[in-house]
Amino acid sequence: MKHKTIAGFFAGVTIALFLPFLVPSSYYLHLIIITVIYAIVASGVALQYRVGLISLGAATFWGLGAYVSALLSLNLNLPLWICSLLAAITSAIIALLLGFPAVKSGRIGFIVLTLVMNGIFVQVVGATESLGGWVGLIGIKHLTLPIPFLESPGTSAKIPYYFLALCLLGFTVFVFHRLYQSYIGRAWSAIGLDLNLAESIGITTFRYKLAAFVIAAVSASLAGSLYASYQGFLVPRAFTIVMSAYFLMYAIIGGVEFALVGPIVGTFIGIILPEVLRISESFEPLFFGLTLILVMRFLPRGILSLPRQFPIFSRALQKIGAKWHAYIRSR
Amino acid sequence: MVLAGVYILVAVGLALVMGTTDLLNLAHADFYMLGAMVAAEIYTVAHYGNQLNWLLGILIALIIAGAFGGLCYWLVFKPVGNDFLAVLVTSLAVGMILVQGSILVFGEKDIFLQNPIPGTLSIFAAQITLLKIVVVVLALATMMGLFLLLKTKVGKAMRAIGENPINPVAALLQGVDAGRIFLISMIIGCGLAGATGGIVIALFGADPHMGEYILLKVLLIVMVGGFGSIKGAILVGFVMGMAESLGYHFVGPNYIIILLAIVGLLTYLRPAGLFGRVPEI
Repeated sequence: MKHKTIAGFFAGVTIALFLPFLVPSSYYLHLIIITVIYAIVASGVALQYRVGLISLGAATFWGLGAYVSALLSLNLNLPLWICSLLAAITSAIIALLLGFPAVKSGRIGFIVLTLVMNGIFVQVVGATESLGGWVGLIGIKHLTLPIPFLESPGTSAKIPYYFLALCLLGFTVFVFHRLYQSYIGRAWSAIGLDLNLAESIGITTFRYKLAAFVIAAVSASLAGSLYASYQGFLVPRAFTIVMSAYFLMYAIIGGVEFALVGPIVGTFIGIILPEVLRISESFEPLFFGLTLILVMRFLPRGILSLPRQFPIFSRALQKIGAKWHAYIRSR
Repeated sequence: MVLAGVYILVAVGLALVMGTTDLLNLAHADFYMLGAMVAAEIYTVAHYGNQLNWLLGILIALIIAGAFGGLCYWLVFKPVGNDFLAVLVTSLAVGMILVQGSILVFGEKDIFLQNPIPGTLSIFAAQITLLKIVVVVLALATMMGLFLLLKTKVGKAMRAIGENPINPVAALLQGVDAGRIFLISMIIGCGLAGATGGIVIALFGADPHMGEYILLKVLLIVMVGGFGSIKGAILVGFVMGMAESLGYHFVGPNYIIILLAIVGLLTYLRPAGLFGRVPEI
């Protein structure tokens, strides 16, 4: 690994460790936690996008993980990690079942079927009283870890979730990274670049696409379980198609080419940036919509392609890199 | 049946745009909402009497929605290059902007309007309000108008481009300007949606989230009917509307699960829809 990456990594980790203690209020911590959770789902969407599956149903498995985990926690009183695991397994099975026809239906069919899945999910959950109905499920167990030297109780309750969310994101990113580097990842790249060409050299594209779908579903489900535990309550309205659309937008704004960092940046832009810029809540969708349009127009490969647009920047980077290499070699 | 009419109108508008441009506009339902909000506003402020207010509202809704549709094409879809994926994503953004914009301009409240056409009619022991009849008549009139349009030179150009929107060789050879036709079809499609919204306000009132409610259904209608096929949109829209009315009557609010499952099955069996063709994306 490059030295730059390692240094950046450690800097990032240090910042991340101390962040919750530096934020001015528990509201910001809440935003960060939500961003991290959403980023996990967005990463799954980006993964699917890279193989040509445009998913408008990300919220389905996110919601599935949340609800299954919540139900297990409420009715059987199991600890969080067992609930998430079971929810993830459930999601994997359902993803396999639903993904089969969805992926088989071609690009347009897939879009439609993910929409349908999401619609059915929301309606089923909303209509079933035992799942809380439209009003929602409440009283999901909350992790507590009293931290003595923090004054605000709100922040102290959130801190374990912050680290948990960060760990989950890190885990997801790590797993995705390994996947992308592996044979599967190369097959995905091939499928993403040219489906017919990939088929012609012997890649059974269907299998790899289905795998991407299921993997994204599982990671979304884990994020959902965490979300359920964090929020303490679940409302079907949080899992509608509109939410799925948001996840897709987060993934694309960041840039799907940058599979690992892209969705994170995109989610950040979608959630934290409006707060930082103090954009009032009523203008926030306008801001985000406008940003998305501008990005699609000028930076169709996502925000992270910005450095590439400026040749000066990349030339400078190249020169620095060359000097560094020369330095290393001369030692 | 009224429901079917509404679905058909909005779905046909979307199918029109999709047929001509091979682009999927997910914000189409929000133009419907826009038309409804505008018409509702006109209805409450104008003073020509209930009926004329309503008609005026519909007309203005048509114009404004059409104008916004054209703007949308000019400012958003065209700059991103008319690429299917880009348009899909940006249409989501446009939808967000329309919804939030409506909330900011018109307020978050739902608007309920006085019935412009009171009175009922008894047919076969069923009470049907005159209003519903008028709505159906208006819907049919709008459809007629659309069909007349399609017979004109512009309509023919639209169909010509629709054969192969990405590379409309034959149409271009005949001197048709593809860009202009895309724009016109966008305007017509969105205008249609807006007009439908205006018609609907007498029945359902208007609120900024109307679009969300019908988007899924209209989208499914267009997909199942065939990507870009107007015939398909009419047929499936009719079936969907009837199924919904009857389904609600017999099965209750969960009818939608059955409906969606059937749609899912249909999509799996015929991904291109019943009458459509698979677009290049």
